[in-house]
Amino acid sequence: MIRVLLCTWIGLGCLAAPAMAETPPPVAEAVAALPDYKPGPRLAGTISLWGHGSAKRDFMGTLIKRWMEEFHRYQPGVRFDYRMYGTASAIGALAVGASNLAILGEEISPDAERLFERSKGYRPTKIEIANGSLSTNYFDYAHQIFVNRANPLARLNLRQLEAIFGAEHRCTTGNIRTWGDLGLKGSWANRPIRPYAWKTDTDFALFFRERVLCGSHRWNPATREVVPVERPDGSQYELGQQIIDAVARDPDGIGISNIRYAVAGVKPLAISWGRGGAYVPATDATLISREYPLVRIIPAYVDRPPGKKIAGPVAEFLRFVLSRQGQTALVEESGYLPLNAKEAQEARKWLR
Amino acid sequence: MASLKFVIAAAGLLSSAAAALPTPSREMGDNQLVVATTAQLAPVLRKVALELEHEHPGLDVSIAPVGSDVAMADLYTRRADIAVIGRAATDPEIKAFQWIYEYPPKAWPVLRGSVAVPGHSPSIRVLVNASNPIRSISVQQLEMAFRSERPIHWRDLGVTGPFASRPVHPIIPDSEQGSGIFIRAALFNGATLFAWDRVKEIAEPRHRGSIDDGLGASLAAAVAHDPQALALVPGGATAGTRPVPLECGPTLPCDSSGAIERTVYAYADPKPRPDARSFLLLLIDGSRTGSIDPSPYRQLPAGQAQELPRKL
Repeated sequence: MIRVLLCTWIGLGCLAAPAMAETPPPVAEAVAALPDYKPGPRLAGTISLWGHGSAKRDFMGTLIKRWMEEFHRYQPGVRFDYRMYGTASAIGALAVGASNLAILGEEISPDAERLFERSKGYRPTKIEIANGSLSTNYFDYAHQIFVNRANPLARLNLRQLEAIFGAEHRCTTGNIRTWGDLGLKGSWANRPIRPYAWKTDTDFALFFRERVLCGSHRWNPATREVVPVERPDGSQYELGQQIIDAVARDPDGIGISNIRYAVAGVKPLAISWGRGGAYVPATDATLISREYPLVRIIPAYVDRPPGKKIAGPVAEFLRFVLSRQGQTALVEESGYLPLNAKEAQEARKWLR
Repeated sequence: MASLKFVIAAAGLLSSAAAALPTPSREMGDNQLVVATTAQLAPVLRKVALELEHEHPGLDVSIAPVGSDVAMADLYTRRADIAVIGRAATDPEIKAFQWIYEYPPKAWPVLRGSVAVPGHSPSIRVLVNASNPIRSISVQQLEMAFRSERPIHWRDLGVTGPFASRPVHPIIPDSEQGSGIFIRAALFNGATLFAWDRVKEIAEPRHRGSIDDGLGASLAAAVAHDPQALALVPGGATAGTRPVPLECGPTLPCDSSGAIERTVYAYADPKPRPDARSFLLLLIDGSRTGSIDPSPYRQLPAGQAQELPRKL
């Protein structure tokens, strides 16, 4: 429906857009609540765009192509230099001046942020452009916490997660190492918690470290880290699947994975931001609203010297990306979820 | 550069967006060679550059002291032909290059780090308090001291007498920063999980363009104040501390004092330009340029240095 309305509104038809089977209601509502794109004055210049993608799998190609197509109708003087080689090179390219816009496939890594800061003397400016998906591979699916099906626990808050998976406790006060520490009674009370996670210096784990461990790299040393494994038939035993399977085998296990890998022997927990917050499951709606705390966020980064606003073609393009038209394209051409109206407005604050 | 940019000017051109992505074009002129490096390595490389320019009139060799991480970014964006850095490239840096060019950059060891000069890839030493009787330590014992889930006492490391029953207080540089990353890779197989309830980390000073010149001193000071400390330190012993020789194996490059040596690497395209190749050959053959003197860096051992021309 959104797709039809938008195409009619801009009167351009919908080039190359694969039809979406059904836009889930929370997604459609979020997009409908966004403001229309109001083109600014005609601009000229080049947007050098580096970021998420690869020579083998062009995750973002279809979406970026559509953004460029539609934006070009409003701003024919703006050219694109498309260099989506992958997130790993995006901030480096921005730091050395090879690009003026980086679109990452995940949150920025501390190393990348340091690189930029060392080069420029200030941090890169983040503009959030999408929410990660609920369960779509390559589109930054949400982290979910699983326990064994036999475990009576139903919910956790971020501070409890920090106390379970962390060892430094920057935002909380101490360790949680037994199920009794979480209030479980009887035979559960003295049993140790066994955490399972990705190797703790990988991209996935970096997100958890920033969001849950308050930036600490000191994970609970009892954490079982899974590493890439090839099955006898040559296929990859995916890390998320390994974690789920380990928790299904281990009644004392707790793992960070995603519903896409879930099996009968595990259950996902409802999560809240803090003790007084609402405990919610991961759904499209709770990811878009950000009520679910372990939602991934897709950022763009620009080089904005302190005290200045982002101007010119890059600002105008980002204004388009954050509009109803830009987010409609995002929903139709990628696995990401749209921003909600509040976050989209917040993201526009640095744009002149 | 302009030829590689596609102009969104007509719908017909749009389909090229997601097609095979061209690699970045080289930013420099044909007669210009750019070497990105650190402030500490730059004086060594400038001598090599002068010699190369002397041998090849018309060639302009620029040495850019931008720091290791920026040097690698310069390399994969083709703003530099060579990155010479005082450490091995990180996995994300290798991946950044590889996802652009579809092959990884080539790494050539070109120099050894300093014995103990801060900021110049100093060797890593095991330091204990001067009062500690321990005589030597193995990698396995370090693993136990820093990573074992159970409390570790000095007797577990072979110490007898009054010290034996005291707990070990392990100290390392911030495990996420330069020396700490090297230590994790060299001694702990890249591990990130340590016994954080007893391991203390000391962070590198953080300000723009900084080097870890205060780190070794901070670590040594902590050891001097704690009789039960066991620290892995970039640099040498100071008053109140004592180095303990590490029992190194064939995979761990240690010097005769039992300190772990570090290596300076050059990264470039696996098939470097002829002038880049000449630069690397001159760099390892310090005898022709005197490039090392008076820097604290050291030439590679003869055998290792002789391998480079063959690999190039």
